[in-house]
Amino acid sequence: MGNTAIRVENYSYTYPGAEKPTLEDISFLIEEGEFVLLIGASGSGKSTLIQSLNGIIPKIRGGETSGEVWAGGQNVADFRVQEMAARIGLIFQDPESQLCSLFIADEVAFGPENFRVEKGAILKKVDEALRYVGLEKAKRKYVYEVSGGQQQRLAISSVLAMGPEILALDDPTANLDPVGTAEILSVLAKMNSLKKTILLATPLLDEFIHLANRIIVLHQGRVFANGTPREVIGKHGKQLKEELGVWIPQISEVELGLRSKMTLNDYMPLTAEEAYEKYKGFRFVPGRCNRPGSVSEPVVRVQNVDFCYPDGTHAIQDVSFNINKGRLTAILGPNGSGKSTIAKLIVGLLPLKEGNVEVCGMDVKKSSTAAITQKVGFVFQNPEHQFVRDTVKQEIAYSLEVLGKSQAEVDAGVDEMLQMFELEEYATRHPFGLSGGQKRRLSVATMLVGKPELLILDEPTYGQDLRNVETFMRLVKDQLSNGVTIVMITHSMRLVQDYADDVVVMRYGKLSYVGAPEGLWDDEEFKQDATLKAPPLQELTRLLERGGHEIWKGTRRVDEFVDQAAAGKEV
Amino acid sequence: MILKNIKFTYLRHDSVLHRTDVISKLLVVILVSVAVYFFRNPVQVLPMPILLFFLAMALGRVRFSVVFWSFSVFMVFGLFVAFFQLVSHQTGEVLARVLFLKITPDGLHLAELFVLRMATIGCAALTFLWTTNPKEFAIGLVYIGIPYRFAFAVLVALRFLPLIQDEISKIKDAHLIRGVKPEKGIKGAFHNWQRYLFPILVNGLRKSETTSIAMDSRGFGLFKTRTYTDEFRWTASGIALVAVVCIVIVVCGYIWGFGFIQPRYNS
Repeated sequence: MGNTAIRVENYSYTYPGAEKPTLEDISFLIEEGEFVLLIGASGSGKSTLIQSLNGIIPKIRGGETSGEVWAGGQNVADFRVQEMAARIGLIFQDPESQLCSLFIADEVAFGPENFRVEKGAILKKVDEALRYVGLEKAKRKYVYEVSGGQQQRLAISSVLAMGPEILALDDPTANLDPVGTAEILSVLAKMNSLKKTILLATPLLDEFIHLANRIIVLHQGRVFANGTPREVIGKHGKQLKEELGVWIPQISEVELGLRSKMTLNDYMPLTAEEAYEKYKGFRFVPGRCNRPGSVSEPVVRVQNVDFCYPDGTHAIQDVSFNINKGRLTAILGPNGSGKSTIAKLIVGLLPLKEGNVEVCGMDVKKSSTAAITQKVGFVFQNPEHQFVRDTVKQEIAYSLEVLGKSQAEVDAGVDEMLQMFELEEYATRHPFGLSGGQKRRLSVATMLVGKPELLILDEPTYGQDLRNVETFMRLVKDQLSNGVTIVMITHSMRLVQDYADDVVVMRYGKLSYVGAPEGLWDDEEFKQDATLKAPPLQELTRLLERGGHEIWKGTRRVDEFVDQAAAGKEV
Repeated sequence: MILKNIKFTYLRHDSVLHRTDVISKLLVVILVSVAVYFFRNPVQVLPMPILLFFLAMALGRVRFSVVFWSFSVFMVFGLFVAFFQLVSHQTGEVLARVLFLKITPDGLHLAELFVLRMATIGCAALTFLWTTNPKEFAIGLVYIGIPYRFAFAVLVALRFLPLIQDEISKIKDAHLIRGVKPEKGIKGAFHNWQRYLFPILVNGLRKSETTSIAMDSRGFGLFKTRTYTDEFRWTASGIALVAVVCIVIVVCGYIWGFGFIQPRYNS
């Protein structure tokens, strides 16, 4: 450490036309070689702050600023955005839209070409930068031929080719599966070991906290906390989770849970290994928790399904499983494993040729999508794709109108959904004018208003903060208690461990596991599998078991673990 | 199946047309587009799309199914124009009647002519698109004096075409789930596009904004000029291609005459 990489002094920013500033009186320093995590709920100002670091704000987006931002020893206000490129590299959330070339090598060459670097030197830089992120073999591929994780690595390498010492990343793993996230993790770890300064905005503290030497928390445009991860989480963890709606490490949630039931020292563990060292002297009383039994009739029967896309991709290979009534089944697997394909086959969006699918008593081969969707709701990853009307109210009403309901039934259904999903005050707003969380709730409301027997959710928590996820999952649980069967396609293992009743795991188009979520980690194959990362709580219980502790095999939620530790203290 | 074969993007292959320089290919597109405007006899225009169709397959290694279905999209627009010509020429001798529509010699002649003109321009543009790496296109444009900012705008637009195609397919599926069936017929297609257009535009604008700031953040536009890892070079195949097309145009003009010669029918 030594020189300052980023200095922000009393910085405030107001978007053009906005009444209130998005960032207010922000001040902090980041030293060279630091790895800093920037966290905060949706709308806290993380992206705005990152875009202020190279002058995109206010030079491109407009608006009013006060205070100063320095990066790489330069006052950002004195330079054009383009000039800052050699000092600070920015990586954005969506990997696809930040790439402007058709081929991987061209993308990396783009920056040095803009700086008028001589051709031979550019070619050398391209090779070096691609080697650095492990993409040298993909050099001649199209940018859209590679996975999301590889696209983000490409974005990083195209920035590295210009040689900046600072990298600011705005939630770069939001669109990625666990494999893609692990790829970014390893690249960032490597960069940081070479003393590059990294500022990373991410909600995935479990994945990145071990690399960070500092956390900056933004709340409503102000710096809420700034310190080492242990200081910030130790001092503000409860507040971050419960009041600010920010994800904290799962292990810290365990610690906070334990503190509410027993007296513990102030040391805040952040990783499973640290927690093991702290809790290895504890006594646990294994206690079984009440979970809904798995005995219920199947709503979906998938039998020997095989599917090939017209381009020859064998997406599904002899897959069979059932989805039982009134349960939440999570479909897991890396990108391209066949999760979305199987969901589309269930609702008839893809033509089923090999095998059989029965959904809500209908044979998919003999039923139209229109008939299936009278009983099955499907919420797409991007809710905007499903909007067909001009107001929130009309959007919900439309689902009932196509079912031929009377005006009275439509009005009653719309009112019920607006209230249930807390959308009443936005009833006359255009669906595209809602926030991310509201759009997601609206898309579910449009599906639930028709009272489906089965609801399929494709990545429902993608891009959502903790508060939105908790609100959303509360609504999902209400539906489960009403007897609706839910299928959730997700990458979030924490969501699976906390809420799912059953799990279906797909890999390379094949079924690799069907059963309870806790059983997944008994399988040696999955323990070693990078495509499914066990949540830290699972790692902790595994470490404790190895250390001779007896913990209920079915433990998967923080409260279940805490109860067993608390019971042990009382014995 | 049909959608999978409609390609409005660069198709990577190693073919004669792929290796041909971009300026020559661009010249061919311009030459045939201008020539068919001056040709007043449908028989004159006919060799052009046929020639281009076979050029794409034989020298560009583009699959027949891709050529056929992508080309068909252009033909839909051609038929629109043809219909307009038939409707707007309702006086004079009547060759036939289709419902309310009188088919007159002038109307028929111009309908044929416009369909073939659209076919030619469509085929030329598609063959160019399929066989030209957008980056080479941008470099070619810079070579002929277009400022590189404009040339790269074209490159980025071409880069996003496959993404838009993917987005349309997702929106179609999502609307189907909502119970919105794609409408059939010309009016139906118009309604479908009305629905698809808004989300495409909103997402397109969002993506293009990210692309634009990502490009600026990597120094795009810093200097008046920039370097390139690839350079523009004229190719023998390009010159030959231009020569062949010129010969075909001259031969067609010689046999059937150019625009200043009276057409078969008075229009």
